[in-house]
Amino acid sequence: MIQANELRKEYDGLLAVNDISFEVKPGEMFGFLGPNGAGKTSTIKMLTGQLTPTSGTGKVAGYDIVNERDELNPSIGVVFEVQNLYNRLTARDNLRFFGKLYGVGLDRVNELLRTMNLLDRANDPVGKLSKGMRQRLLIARALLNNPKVLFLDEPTIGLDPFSAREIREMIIELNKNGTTIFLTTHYMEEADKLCDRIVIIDRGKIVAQDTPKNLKRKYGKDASLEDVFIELTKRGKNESEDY
Amino acid sequence: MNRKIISAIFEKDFKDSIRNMVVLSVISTPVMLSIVTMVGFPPDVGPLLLPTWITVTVVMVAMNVAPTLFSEEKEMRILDAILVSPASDIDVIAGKELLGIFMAVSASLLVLVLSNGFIGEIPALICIITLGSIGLTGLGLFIGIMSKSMISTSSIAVFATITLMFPAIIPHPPDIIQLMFKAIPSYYVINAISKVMFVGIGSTKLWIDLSALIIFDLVVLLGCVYALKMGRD
Repeated sequence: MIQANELRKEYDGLLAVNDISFEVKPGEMFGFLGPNGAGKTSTIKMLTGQLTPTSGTGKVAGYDIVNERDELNPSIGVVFEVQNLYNRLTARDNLRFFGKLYGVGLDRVNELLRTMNLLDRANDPVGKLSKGMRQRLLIARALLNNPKVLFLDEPTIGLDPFSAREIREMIIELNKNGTTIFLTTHYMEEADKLCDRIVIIDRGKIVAQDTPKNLKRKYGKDASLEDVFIELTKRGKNESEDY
Repeated sequence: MNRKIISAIFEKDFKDSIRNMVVLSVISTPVMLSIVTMVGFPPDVGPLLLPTWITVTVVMVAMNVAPTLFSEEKEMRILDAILVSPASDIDVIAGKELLGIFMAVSASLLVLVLSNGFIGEIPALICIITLGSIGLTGLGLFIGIMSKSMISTSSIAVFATITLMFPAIIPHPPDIIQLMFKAIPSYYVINAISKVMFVGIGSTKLWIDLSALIIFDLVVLLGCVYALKMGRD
């Protein structure tokens, strides 16, 4: 469902993504982990057609990420790491606007508002909704077009435990219904619970790629995914300060 | 270009703009100033100031309304969400352009209505206001696309707005300044408006002003689409 072949991104000489290759199978929940500045967001931006790779190729839902953007866009949904909504408009107006971009009617908008438990706040300006509600609205927006692949960039960041659990349950439900999920998160426990397979990226390069279970096994009997992550991405003190 | 997507962007921007205090103050300021000036001058002098006020209104509204909304979308990364939808770069620019033109033409008409200033060839006047609004909205959007943040967009837009007002607020500059004004697009807006209001569409050299505005509009629009596309690289 997702194929990345030697993807590379440079910004004015700075190497953000260094020839990475991986594959995500249909219906898989795929974790893409890495420290801040590792190249996760650049990779997502390339896979969703927002950025043109410096070199390498990629396919998402069968479409080339550079040459078939017009076909790619209706097949994917993206939940960004920031809550990028129109705060002055109502929750319904936000969804209606994006629905019109996808050619989706009001019925689908109301269906998603109901599914996300937002129907009773649908006419409130987004600025007045709680962070958890806004996150649910972001997921609703990404689902407007029934995407084959859903990209989730830090979907539970900054949420209280109750809202985070609610979002995780929604992600599991979506995946059960056949949606391929590409997830980035800083919460290792979340990645461990949700993901079928994981890639760990550091300084633009893939440093590990396996199931959470196999990754933990490689680092000892009682190792957690966090131990594995820290071991694989740790840097010397000076190096860390320079980075 | 997708007409449904363009009209969706226009409709959403309109809803958003009437709830945005910055946008509302940008629209109301030139309208209020023009009314105050018209009331404060003798009846035979007031109409002579109309070309100035219409040009100032077009410059302020076109240069600030759509770019303010655009730079906000960019900074909040809502633009990223739009650009991963089926909306193309051209649809986004066209939707914003429509809003800028609509607001600038509406505000200019409001100035004319409130000051009882329907003088000369009105359809031609609206046509010139529209031509001016297209290019100036485009210039504002170009600034928004190229700037890193809302603050830098508004700083550059304010500087550009003031510069663009010079040909309107300095009616009889020295020759050297007059020559420099010819490099400023609003010079052709006020020239064309004055000719249409007080001389008529048969005015000689009106075609020079119109040609200059059309060329400016095309260059700026192409620049916007190119700059937005380049943002992906």
